Amino acid sequence: MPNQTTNISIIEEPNVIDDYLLDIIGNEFKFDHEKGLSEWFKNSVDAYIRLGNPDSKQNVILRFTDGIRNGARFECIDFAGMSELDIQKAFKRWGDPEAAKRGLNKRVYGGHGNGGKFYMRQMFDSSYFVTYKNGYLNIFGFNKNKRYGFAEGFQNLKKGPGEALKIAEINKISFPDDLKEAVLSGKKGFTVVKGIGPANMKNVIRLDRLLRKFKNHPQARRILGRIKVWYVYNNSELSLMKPEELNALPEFEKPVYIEIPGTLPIEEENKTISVDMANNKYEAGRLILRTSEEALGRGTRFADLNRIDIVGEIGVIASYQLSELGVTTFPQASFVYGECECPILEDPDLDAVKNDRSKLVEANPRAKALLDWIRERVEELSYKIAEFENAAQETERKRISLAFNEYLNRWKDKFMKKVLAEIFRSGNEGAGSSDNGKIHRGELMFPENGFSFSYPAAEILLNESEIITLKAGSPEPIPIGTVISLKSSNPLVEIEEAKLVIKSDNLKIDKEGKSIAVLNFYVIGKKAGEEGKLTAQAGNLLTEMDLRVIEGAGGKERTKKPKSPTVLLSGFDSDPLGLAPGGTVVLTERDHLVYQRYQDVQNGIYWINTASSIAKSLLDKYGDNSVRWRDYLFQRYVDIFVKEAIYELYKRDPEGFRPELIDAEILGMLVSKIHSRAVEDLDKFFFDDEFEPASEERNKSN
Amino acid sequence: MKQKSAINLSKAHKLLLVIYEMSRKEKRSLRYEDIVVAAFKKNPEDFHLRGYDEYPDSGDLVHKPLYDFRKKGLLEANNKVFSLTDMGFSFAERLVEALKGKEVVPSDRLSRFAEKEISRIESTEGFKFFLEEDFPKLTDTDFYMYMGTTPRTPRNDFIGRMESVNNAVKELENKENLTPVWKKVLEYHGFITNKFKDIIKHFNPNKNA
Repeated sequence: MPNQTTNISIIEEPNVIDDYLLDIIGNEFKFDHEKGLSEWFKNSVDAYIRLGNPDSKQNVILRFTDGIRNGARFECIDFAGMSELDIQKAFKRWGDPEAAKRGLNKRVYGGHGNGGKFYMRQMFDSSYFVTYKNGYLNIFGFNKNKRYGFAEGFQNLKKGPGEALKIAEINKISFPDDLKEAVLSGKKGFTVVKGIGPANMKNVIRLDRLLRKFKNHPQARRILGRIKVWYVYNNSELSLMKPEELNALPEFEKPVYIEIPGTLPIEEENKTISVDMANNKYEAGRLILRTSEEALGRGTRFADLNRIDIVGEIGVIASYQLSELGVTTFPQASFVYGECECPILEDPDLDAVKNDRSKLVEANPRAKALLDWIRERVEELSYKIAEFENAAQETERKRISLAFNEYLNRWKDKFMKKVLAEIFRSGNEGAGSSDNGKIHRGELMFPENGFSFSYPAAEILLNESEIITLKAGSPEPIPIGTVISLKSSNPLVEIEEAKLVIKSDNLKIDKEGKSIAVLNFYVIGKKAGEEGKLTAQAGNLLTEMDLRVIEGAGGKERTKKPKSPTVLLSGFDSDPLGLAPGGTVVLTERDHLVYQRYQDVQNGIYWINTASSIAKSLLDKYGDNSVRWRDYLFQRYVDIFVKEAIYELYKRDPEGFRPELIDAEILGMLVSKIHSRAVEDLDKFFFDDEFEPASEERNKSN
Repeated sequence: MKQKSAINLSKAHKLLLVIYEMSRKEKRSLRYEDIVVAAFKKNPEDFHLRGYDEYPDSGDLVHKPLYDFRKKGLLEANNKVFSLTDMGFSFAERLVEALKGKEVVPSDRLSRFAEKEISRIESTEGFKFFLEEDFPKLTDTDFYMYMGTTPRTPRNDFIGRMESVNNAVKELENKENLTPVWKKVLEYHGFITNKFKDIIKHFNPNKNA
């Protein structure tokens, strides 16, 4: 008995498909109008491509009309046109991947020939197109029953161009003269796709939103950049439409190009497998990431652009918002967008492109691997942006602290020298004390012959203003008001003032009740090793002292120390001496609150330690602009005053350098003077939360 | 009767003994002029003005040894006011003992100044980190603490301090039966002076760390 099964041969018949299938597929499209308009728009562009029109010769007009009850209308107009044959052979066919090509070997945007038709069918009360080509006019569309067909009496109707424009209701549009001329002369046809009663906006069209979303739609945006597209609303003039240009994020202006690796891993059933992302037929793709200065996050004007478009052979074959890719780690991702070219996705053997070209086929392993890989790259770029932003915030933070410090520096410069001089004038030659009969150095003694320097000889530091004290018995033998002239025998030992006048303010009383004028003046030694004789003369009285210029610690490296030290912030200010690795002095919490290297001593530099535990806590908890932080800085300035005063005191009067003196003169009088001055000058600095030293104030002060 | 053997004491040592006497076993600030006068009164044959036996010499005869003592860490000096350091006291005391005819033998105990230096070093925070082998934490601040100086210390005072620390460490090195902590002090000395040799070189360019 022969095998009956092997002998059976099926005779092929055309598919019988119920229209309900179109509803099922149509519902999957889930059209929004910008997406639907993009489909019409692409169809127009494809029509031009089929005609061989270059980009510059492709013109599309979108017309929006409302104000008629339930009669709002969208229209998409191109100047290509279709014949009845085009409609019969291509437009009428559902699901034909070659439909857009119409048998030509040209790359076109249209995919499966469904998008535009489904939009017409699903999203309007009624929809049809009027098309005119080579003197024949056709009207084809969908009725309210969602069935398509030619309009009665308008199938392959011979008409003149002028009448055809009138029937299509576009004769009153003031479109460019050359276009109108081309249509009227029969050189060009046209197609007007019309949708009447659009879903969700049958009466009033929300035009701004619609246009904005259309311009940013993945299927439209790239094409809009190349061809001329106008829109017209009711009877307005034509307006040219261009995609919104995004300015790149500063410092991230250059697009990031990343080649897609030859293989990518994916997890499948707890196993990692490799997926080929290129082969002999399809070359490796690439991801291009761009940044936007304006955030593209949800709710923003350009939220739709916060996505990666997957670009196929021509046009976008899928598009993913970054949130859909699972990019969630860094909020900086809202400044990122881009596109990915990956030719192998269109490999028919493993086609990853879906019918509506909105997303790739989820189950396609290449699509899965690629999307994971894109997510990681976007995260990487977002991380870089985050790092940059943190650095920028850090810079801004530092700027605030530096401004406060600069403010305090200027404040200190105004009076530091003066206040120290006041302290030493009053303290150094003060009343002194006696201990078991021993006379301390600080004790004021009547000068020999009624007129003498405090010391017969002294060493002065190179390039420093050094105080010299002269004592004169006054009013006897030298009356108040007497002018004392000063001279140096060596020009390299300079006296800052050539004359002194005895005033009553200068008078002090010694232990025996004698009145003595104590006069201070400054000398500067200009060259180490030089010696000079200072002479003071008051009438017939003359006194002398010897000075020798010596180098301080640092010897030859010593440079001129500024009159007031410069206070800098560790880790914030750059090292003016260029010694610190990395350009700034970085301290630890173990270093002193006020720090100096030996080179700083030579150059009159102090560093406030911003890494001390208290500094760090204040900055972390209250910030650089806080009053508490400002107070910390101020306290360090007080420390610096105290340090300067202590060393000065010891230098001037080592024998009289006693704890009581430091307590009384420095911690008592000096600190009190600094605080009084601060209250007068720094009110806003201490008490105004919003205070920031103004730049104009800085300029004025400079 | 046993006769004292004659000792030929240098002028510098005589001067140091004068200062020691003036200090009366306490750290005192002494004016240059007072030292000049005292040295002359005590040893007029050594400290008189050349050609004028009855007048003291206030020049280099006194000045130079005083500043040499400063560099050796025996004296502190500022603006012609001097005072003996702990090491200066220790040195002077040994000199006095020697002059009394007693033999100055190496003691098993550290000298007063060395004991004080070593004890100070042991109490520094840097030494604690060294014991914990937390070397990266040791900064120049620890070095200055180790030396008992600051970046502002005048060069000659720094050299004096360094002499003092070096001598204390030397005493420790010569000592038998070192405690484990003292061994660590010696190691710390080597470590920190090497790590911050640039600072030493700055203050004392003629001497290697």
